[in-house]
Amino acid sequence: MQNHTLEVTADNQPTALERLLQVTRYRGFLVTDLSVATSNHEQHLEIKMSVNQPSVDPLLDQNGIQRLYNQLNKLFDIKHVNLIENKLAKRQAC
Amino acid sequence: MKLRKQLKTKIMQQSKLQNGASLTLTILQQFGVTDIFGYPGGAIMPMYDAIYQSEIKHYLCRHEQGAAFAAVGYARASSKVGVCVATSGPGATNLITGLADALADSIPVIAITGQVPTRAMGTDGFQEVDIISLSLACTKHSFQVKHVDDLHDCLSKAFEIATSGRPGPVLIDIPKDVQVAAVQPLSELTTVCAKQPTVAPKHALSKDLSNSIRQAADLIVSANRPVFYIGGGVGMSQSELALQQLMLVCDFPNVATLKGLGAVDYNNQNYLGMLGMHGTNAANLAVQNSDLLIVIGARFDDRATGKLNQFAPNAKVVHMDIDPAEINKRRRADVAVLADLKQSLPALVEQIKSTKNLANANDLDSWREECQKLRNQIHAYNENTSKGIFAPQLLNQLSQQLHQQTRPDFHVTTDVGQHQMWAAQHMQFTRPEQFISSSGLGTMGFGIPASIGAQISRPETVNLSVTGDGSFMMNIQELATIKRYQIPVKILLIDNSRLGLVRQWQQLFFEQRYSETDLSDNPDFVALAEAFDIKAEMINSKQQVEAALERMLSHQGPYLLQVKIDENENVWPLVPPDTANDEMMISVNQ
Repeated sequence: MQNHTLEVTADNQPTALERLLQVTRYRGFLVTDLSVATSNHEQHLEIKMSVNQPSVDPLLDQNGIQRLYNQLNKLFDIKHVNLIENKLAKRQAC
Repeated sequence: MKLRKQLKTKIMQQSKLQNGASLTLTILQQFGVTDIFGYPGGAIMPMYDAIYQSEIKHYLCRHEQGAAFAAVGYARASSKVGVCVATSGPGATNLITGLADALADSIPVIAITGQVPTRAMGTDGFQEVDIISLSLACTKHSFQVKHVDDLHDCLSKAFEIATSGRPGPVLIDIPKDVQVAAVQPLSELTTVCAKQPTVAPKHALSKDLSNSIRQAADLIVSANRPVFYIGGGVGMSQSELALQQLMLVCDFPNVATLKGLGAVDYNNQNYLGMLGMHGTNAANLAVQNSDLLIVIGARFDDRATGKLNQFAPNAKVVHMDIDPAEINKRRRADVAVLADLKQSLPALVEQIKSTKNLANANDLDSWREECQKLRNQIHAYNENTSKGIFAPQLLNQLSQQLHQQTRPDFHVTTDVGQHQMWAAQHMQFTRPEQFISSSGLGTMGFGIPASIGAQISRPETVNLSVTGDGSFMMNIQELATIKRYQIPVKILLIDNSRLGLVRQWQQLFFEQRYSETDLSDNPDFVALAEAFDIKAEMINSKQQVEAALERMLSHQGPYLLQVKIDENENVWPLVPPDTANDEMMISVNQ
């Protein structure tokens, strides 16, 4: 089970966070950490979210985080998604 | 009451204001909407009051789900946006299945729901439901309009979102007080329906399209066993002509998904039919043995691929699509061409023309020959084992009569089940909008209301709804809509008194335990149709088929032809679940 962290900028709309969480759950990820703050005179939400993906199918697990990234990017209220490389995983790999 | 209405109108006129409901209809007109489908109720009453005087034609369906499917059928038969309207609470929840269907098949639909007044929201009011939350998983986006001044912006964005990129449904929830709130009228009524969408995709259409086109062309010209894998995206983007050009340059074997049927004319010499679970032997074997799949507007749906890790095991993949989330979702693409097919297909044609000749002509020729042999055997095992009317033969005959007799065109809608698969296998289509079937979601009850929508969208065409006895009962109330507006749809009811496809699986995979699939206590469908003033007849022998089809097609108004078939008839071929596509069953005993 690998952890990933995403930084998301969204329009400060009532459904933005709910939709983000709905897509995250539907695409097979669990939220392990979440912080939200407003920015740009409360017009935007700055969301930092850590997720992990319980294994379902080895074939589909590959690139799972990329698929979540793509699906989040499609959402109308979401302006920007940044997938932060997992530093811990990288250290362990070294 | 009349006095109150006159007073209200007078006040509006004096102040040059209109209310939110009438502004909504004005904006719909701006976007070219001429027809809407819906059902009134408490929280949407101001909208229906505005509809009463509007130039937009409202069609009363007899269930909100019927209205949603009519909007889907309306959109699918043309390039227009389908619009449906419902009240709050149960009215809104009844739209949900239709929206999920539209999302799965990428259909541009706008759903407008009434909501309890803003002051009552969140108090568990009468007929209050949190439709925004319910809609999140089955729409491309949803808006709740909390203030009348936001209506124009929300509706404009809704149209742009529904039609841009990969199309899909959008829901707009409008509280009752917003519908009645006074608002400045739009300064002028201009038609903006032809306007290009301005909601720019915020990411990742191929940054360097020419580079990915070049890479795709390189793979294409060097392939020895290539196959075009055609999906619904071709029709959605109206790229059939561009696809034809590509196929002229590369006359490779080609296969279609369920939603891609008709994108390639069935007369095309290299067309091998539908791939997947109930696809042709030819399509599945060609794909399994290919060394390059050129996937155009398709998404490797599980019904198309069979067991994913054994799907086309030796093939490289060129994946052309507009949705970045489909790339590498189920199958890794060697080259992804992320763009509108209208843009990428012509560019690919030019690139291939300017590239050196197609690789090894001899290898390609022997591949084409191999595929032609498969093509010639497509219908070889569809033997008539039935003593009565054989559905595949019936649909083939109907298809030929449609092609010969209908001018200028026809649409076939289906429901979901055996009849749907038989229609997909044995009817022939020359254009994608000719076949309107709930493909992604597989929604029983889709066909009749979708056919109503298609007929209203394209009144000059013949609309035929192929249905089964299970599906027909799922939105049977829409016969009242057919009656009310005298919609001349032709309903071909293939009746085996069973929930046929489930029965088939019970026979094959559940040791013949026929749990809850016997529908032999169905009502008398002919009498039922006649109760709605729909002309109807039932046939049960082969000798009756030709004349009955003729009577149905030549009848001016709506018509129901009930065709009784053997309850044990199955859909073949079939790829069993979790099995590779080249392991197809062609009989019970296999």
